[in-house]
Amino acid sequence: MQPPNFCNAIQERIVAGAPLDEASQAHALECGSCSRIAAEWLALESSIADALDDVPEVPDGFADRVMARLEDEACERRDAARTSGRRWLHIALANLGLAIAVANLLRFILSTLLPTVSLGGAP
Amino acid sequence: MDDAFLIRQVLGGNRNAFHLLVVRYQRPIFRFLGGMGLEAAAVEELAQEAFLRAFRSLGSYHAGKGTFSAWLFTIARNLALNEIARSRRRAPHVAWQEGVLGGDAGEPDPSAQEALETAERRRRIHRAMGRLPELLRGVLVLAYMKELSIEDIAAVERCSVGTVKSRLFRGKKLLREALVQSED
Repeated sequence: MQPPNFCNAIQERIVAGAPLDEASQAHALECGSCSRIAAEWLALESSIADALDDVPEVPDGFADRVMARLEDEACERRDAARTSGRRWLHIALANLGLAIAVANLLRFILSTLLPTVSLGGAP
Repeated sequence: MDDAFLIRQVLGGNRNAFHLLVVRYQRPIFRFLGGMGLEAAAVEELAQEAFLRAFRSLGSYHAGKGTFSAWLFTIARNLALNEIARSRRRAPHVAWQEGVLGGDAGEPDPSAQEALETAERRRRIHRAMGRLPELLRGVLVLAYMKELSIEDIAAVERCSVGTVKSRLFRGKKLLREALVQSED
């Protein structure tokens, strides 16, 4: 007959899922209280594992759908990069046009005020 | 082909290698998300999102900091916790997803009776798991899936191995209490 503390220690290890040495396992088999606890916890553990098997199955073609979404994202990124590159080109051309217009305006004003500035003009 | 090789291939631009990673981990990720109590549609959506995020940030994964599976499960876990919090805000009393269980019992033959009992047992477990706090539920699901080592679970949960063991213990204890209550 083992002291109650011995049973408590074994039952705590069973509940915590800690491994038992040979002597403790032998005791847990013989002792009514310890074997009842062991049976209860083993049943609980198998129920949890069983419940985790009762979850949604992976649908057919799941991996292919993931790859298709990756491909879509890559296409969107490429399109976005292309659109952004075209926008920069438009802005650069607009700025160039504006600069030419301003330069021409300045040249016109200067040629009016200072006739010598005008190209080909006689003083 | 191990994960490290496939990851190097993906980073080198080989998308087929990522397809293999998806095929390898799709079932464990579905089991985990399903085990967290999410509905089938949400499970598929979140599983897809987990893989997409993994692909996008694969460059930031460092093998020295943990296994690829722990890293992937961390992404899935964060998505699951966000989804649970979101659905709780939408419907505070939303019930735990109880899986696909039999409806009409039909004739009371022994196999049907057995199936009903199995279904009822699973329903009680699912319901009891749904009542656990998410942190305990997550550890319990990861531990019983047996896909990750206890060190990997600690990495996923960002806590120590001792904390994982203690959460596991508390989770099982609460689950058992909930089951005993549901039997009464």
